[in-house]
Amino acid sequence: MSDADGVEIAAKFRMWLRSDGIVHLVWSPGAVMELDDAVTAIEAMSRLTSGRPAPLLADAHEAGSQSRLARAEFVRRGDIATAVAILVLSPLSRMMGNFYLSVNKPTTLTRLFEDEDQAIEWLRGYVA
Amino acid sequence: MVAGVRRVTGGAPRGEPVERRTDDERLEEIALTIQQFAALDFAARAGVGTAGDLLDAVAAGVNFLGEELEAAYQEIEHKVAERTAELDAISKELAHRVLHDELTGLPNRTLFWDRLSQRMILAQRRHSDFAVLFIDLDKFKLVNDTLGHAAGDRLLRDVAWRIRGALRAGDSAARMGGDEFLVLLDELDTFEATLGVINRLIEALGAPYEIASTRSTVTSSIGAVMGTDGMQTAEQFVAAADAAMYEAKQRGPGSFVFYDEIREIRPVDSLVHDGPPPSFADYRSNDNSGHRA
Repeated sequence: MSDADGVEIAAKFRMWLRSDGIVHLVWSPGAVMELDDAVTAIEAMSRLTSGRPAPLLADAHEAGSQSRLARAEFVRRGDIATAVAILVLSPLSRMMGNFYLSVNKPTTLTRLFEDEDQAIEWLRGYVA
Repeated sequence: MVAGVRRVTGGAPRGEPVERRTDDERLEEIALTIQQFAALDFAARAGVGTAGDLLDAVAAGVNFLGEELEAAYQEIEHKVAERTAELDAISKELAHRVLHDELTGLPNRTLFWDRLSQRMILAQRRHSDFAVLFIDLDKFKLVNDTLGHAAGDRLLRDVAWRIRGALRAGDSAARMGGDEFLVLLDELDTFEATLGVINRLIEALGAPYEIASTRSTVTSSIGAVMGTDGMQTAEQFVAAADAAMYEAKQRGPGSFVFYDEIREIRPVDSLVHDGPPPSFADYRSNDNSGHRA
């Protein structure tokens, strides 16, 4: 669901549109991402940006695992983002990020970051 | 549990929250999951905790591999099933082509021979009779020469369709090649019943055909042989029908002759000689007239 301040809140994530045009997605601690969650997140981002592609900062460092179908859906709907920065602040999130890049091979420009500031700096170059 | 795969021993069993397991127990579960993958049980999963530590990363990585393996395995199985179905369809198509005439879809000589031979074997156990008809279109060559082969082919398909329509369930028709057709009439209780089917066939074949945008009548010469009297093989049977058909040709277009009428002048023994496997050329070689429309 979305609130009046432009924040999308779902059972497993929070997402909002920053003033610099970057969409920030934070997955809840221990959340296991399934296909439905991926679809929900993509729909939420589409609402926030009115369907226009925008840079995405994805923070899953406290999240749990992720299903194959969820990863496939993120790849399939990669057109909603101009670039994706994934924060990998834990061994688990780093492994998931690397797996996503090497196995799923997203077509949208995607990079892993261990520092949020660096990620945001990089994403600013992809604000439409 | 897959046979041969070691169970987790000691410590917390699977199902216990990951956070309450020791590192050794978690590693053992990961090792067991890998073993299950090796045994093609790709549904196995290692527990992933909420700490997001290295063991969680390894467990999740192993699970990811399992998902990929499972998806790849299912895809392969799906493709194998698909290819198997394709091969099955091709195999059936080839089997059909081997035994059927491509132009008319009717059984070919090989299949007809098989059916006739089978019927002859059953002859002694059945009270009902059977008959073979040899049908040859009159002046078919003229159609081909004047209207073209496409018109000739169309006529042959129409003839096949009409023959099929005139027969009863259990009867068989075949195209032998050119403008020659064979029919096996089965379960004939009386001579009148036989004549009834033959008359229906003659009537169907005698109706005008639409050939090259004109309606034309094409007659057929038909020879028939009934019962197995004196005949031991399918070759003899067909040769007798052919001889009767030839006699019909001699009498004029659209004629019909039973072999019994010419049995004395063309005895069974003179129709086919012993020798190599049968072929039309074999039994026709007894007839030097070179007849054919």
